[in-house]
Amino acid sequence: MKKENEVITADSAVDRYADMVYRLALSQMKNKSDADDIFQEVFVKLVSHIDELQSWEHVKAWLIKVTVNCARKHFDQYWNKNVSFLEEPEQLSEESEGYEIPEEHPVRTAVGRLPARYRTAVYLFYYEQFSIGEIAELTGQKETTVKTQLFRAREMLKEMLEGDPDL
Amino acid sequence: MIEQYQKEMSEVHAPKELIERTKAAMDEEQEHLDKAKQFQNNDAQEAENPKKVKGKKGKLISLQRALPAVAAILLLIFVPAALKDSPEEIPMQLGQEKDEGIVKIEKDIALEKLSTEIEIEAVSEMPDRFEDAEKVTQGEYTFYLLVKKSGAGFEAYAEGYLVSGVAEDQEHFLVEAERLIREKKHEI
Repeated sequence: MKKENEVITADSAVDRYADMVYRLALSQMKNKSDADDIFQEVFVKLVSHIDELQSWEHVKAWLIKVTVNCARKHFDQYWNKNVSFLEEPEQLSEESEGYEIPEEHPVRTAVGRLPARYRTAVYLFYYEQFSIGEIAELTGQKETTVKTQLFRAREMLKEMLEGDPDL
Repeated sequence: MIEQYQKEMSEVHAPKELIERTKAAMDEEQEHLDKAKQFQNNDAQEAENPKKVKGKKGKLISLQRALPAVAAILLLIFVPAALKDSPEEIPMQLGQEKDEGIVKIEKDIALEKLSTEIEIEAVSEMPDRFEDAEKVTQGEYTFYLLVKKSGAGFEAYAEGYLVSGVAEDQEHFLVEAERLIREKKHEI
């Protein structure tokens, strides 16, 4: 709910949700400069929509939706330019990201190796603590699809992180 | 694993430099939007009320209406003064030409005044009297045109609007009618 006398501005939205948008953009794009671009694009878009958003919950949901869509758009552009139509996303992810998992943030790195749509579901479910229904609404997918993505993501993560004594 | 993931993610923060850069871009976007809004408002206001200036008594008068009168006054002041300044250079016939010139200018001003008397109103359907009216295309619109018996009076229907008034001739009337309809449509 909007608190009395509380003014929602685009600037205060940056202060409040900069980390969330950045984490989501980074988990989507993996590449820092692309994440920076998405971050900037999302908040610049917010300027012309801030008056329509009635509460911080609306602002948060709007930011997540737009970040996911912007990332998807960037990803599609990359996909069209660099990847042949028949390549499977899961294969692509493993083949193109064939690097060692660093010790300082092993789970984040492993999540980063998942296909893009799985990364979104994992981030929103395990970090932002959204429900499956909410994630389905935010990403424009069916609940069963989100459930399947989370299940497969967990399986892949288990496989990737197998043998890590700290996990 | 989940706790570890949450811990690792909580260590990720948006760089301060990126936040500052983004805020600057947002300010620019805001300025751009404000300018566009202002521009749009000005356009709408201008369409609703033609530019107005304050008269002597502080009353608002339409610039469009005031202009012909101002032009006539200026002409009446300056043309005779210019003629008086160099009487030797002016042949006798010029006096006649001068009078004709003033008459022509006054006629133009009168016609310009006439053109401002053309009125437009939105109607739900075409009035019956236009059923047998002449169809004339002007610009994008097809007008059903009626010419009043008095000669300079016209009445036309097009695009849900009824336009009527007096004009120099049919062509002038239709040009003005088209402009008024465009203006109305732009308002919507």
